[in-house]
Amino acid sequence: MSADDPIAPVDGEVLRQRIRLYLYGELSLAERQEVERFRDTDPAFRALFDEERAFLLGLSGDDIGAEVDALLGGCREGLILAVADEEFLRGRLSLTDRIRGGLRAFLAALEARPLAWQPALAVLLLVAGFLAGRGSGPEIRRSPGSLLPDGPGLPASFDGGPDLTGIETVRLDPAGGNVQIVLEERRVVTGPSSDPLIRGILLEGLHESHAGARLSSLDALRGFAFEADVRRTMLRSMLEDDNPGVRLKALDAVREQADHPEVREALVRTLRKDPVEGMRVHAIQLLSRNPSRDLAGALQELVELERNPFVLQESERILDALGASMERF
Amino acid sequence: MAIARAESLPVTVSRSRYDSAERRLVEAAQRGDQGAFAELVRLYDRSVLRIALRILPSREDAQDAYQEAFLKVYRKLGTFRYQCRFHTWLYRITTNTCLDHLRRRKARREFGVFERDEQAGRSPLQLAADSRPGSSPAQMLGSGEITRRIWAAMDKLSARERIVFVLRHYEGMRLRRIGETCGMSEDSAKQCLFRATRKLRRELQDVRG
Repeated sequence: MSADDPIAPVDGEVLRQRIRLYLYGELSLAERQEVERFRDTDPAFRALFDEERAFLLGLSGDDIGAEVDALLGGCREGLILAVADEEFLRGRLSLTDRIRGGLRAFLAALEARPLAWQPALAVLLLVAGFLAGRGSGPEIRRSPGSLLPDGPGLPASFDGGPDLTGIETVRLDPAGGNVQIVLEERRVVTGPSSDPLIRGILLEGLHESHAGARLSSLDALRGFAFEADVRRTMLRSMLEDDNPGVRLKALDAVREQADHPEVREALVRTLRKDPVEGMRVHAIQLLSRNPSRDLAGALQELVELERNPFVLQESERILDALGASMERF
Repeated sequence: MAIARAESLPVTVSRSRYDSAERRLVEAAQRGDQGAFAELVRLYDRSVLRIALRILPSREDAQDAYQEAFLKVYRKLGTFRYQCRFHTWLYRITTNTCLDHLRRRKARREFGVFERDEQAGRSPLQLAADSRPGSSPAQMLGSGEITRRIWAAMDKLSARERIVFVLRHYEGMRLRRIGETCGMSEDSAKQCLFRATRKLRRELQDVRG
């Protein structure tokens, strides 16, 4: 204890310190085994251990995740402007660019979502390609990537014709004298989730920019994780979606397929990478249903890095059940 | 009962791929690639904001510290020579920036109980209870007052104790790394952590069931 410490050591404080170091994963293997031996054989030590664990768990929790989510956008915007000011002051940014809002490359890298996440569900782009001059009047055709098939007879139904909602771009073709217009339209599609068309649209819905649409799509797809394309799209959401709520919903949606090798692999990645402790807790719970040797390496690595006591203890329990060591040497 | 100190065994976890990817980004950012700098921001800004929110008593201070820390990194990136990992350097700048904020508050005699409350959705132990089977923090501490009590207890820690506790308990950083980040030995970081947890235990003693 340092001399300036106003608090005198209390009974059992040395033991508590050792327990804390154990729970924080700061002990060597031999030290850990010693703590475990005491824990398993000495009721008084066990009570102290449980009390300390409960106390630290009580202080735990990634509880400011929502607050961070709420503030991060504003912080990034402020940083973009501050960096733009910095560049302007250094003479590396024109006043015009500064007024426009700063650094396009910086802005794009910080704010842009990957291409795969571009909105695709509600707004379908139709190409009215190079129309004029053929004498037959305008002919509207769907773009190759359109989700909506032309053929009739599907269980899904379209609620009336498309509503034109706007013109996205107009391009002149100087050579042919034609005009290319990209139009936006909205359509309402109704049908059961089992319908392949509906399912296809729902899978696109997982790439929607609005988290609400992604959550609803996952809800509607629940029960179809046995299908490879649905499962893989859900796993991608579980691993890559920016929104923790969506990732959690995706994890829940693949729960029934937890023993599938693809799902197990994705759960291990979640365990290693996901910053949200709740995600890691659910991932280890699902993996612990069917512990197998292939988990050992990942769990040994995790034991070194994990900060959530529950995940840490579950990992250790599984490693113990597998007869594997706690650490990699 | 005494637990004998056992000799530590060497542990190696390969991080080489991660380090080399981080280094490529840092080198690109040092050459003036703003996209690479933005990627570094994206990689670490959530942690930086989280640390600032945990250490500083108000959201505004935390947001200011976030911006100041990254601006310092932006300005000094050219001088970074890999004496440590980039994120260790970043966290050192972040914690020093937070310390500056705390000192300024102290100088203005504004330092006091944390200003944040449950209104912002901060209800840590309720969330913990939802997501952690067996943890039962609500059983341990009751409910309602929990958040305020924890933040008030954190307020009793010295700035250094708070930083060490936040980095170890909430950020899961190893004591050795905390030492590097805070400019102290691993043993000093450990003693700091012990003092912090003992104070927290004392402050929260009356609300434990």
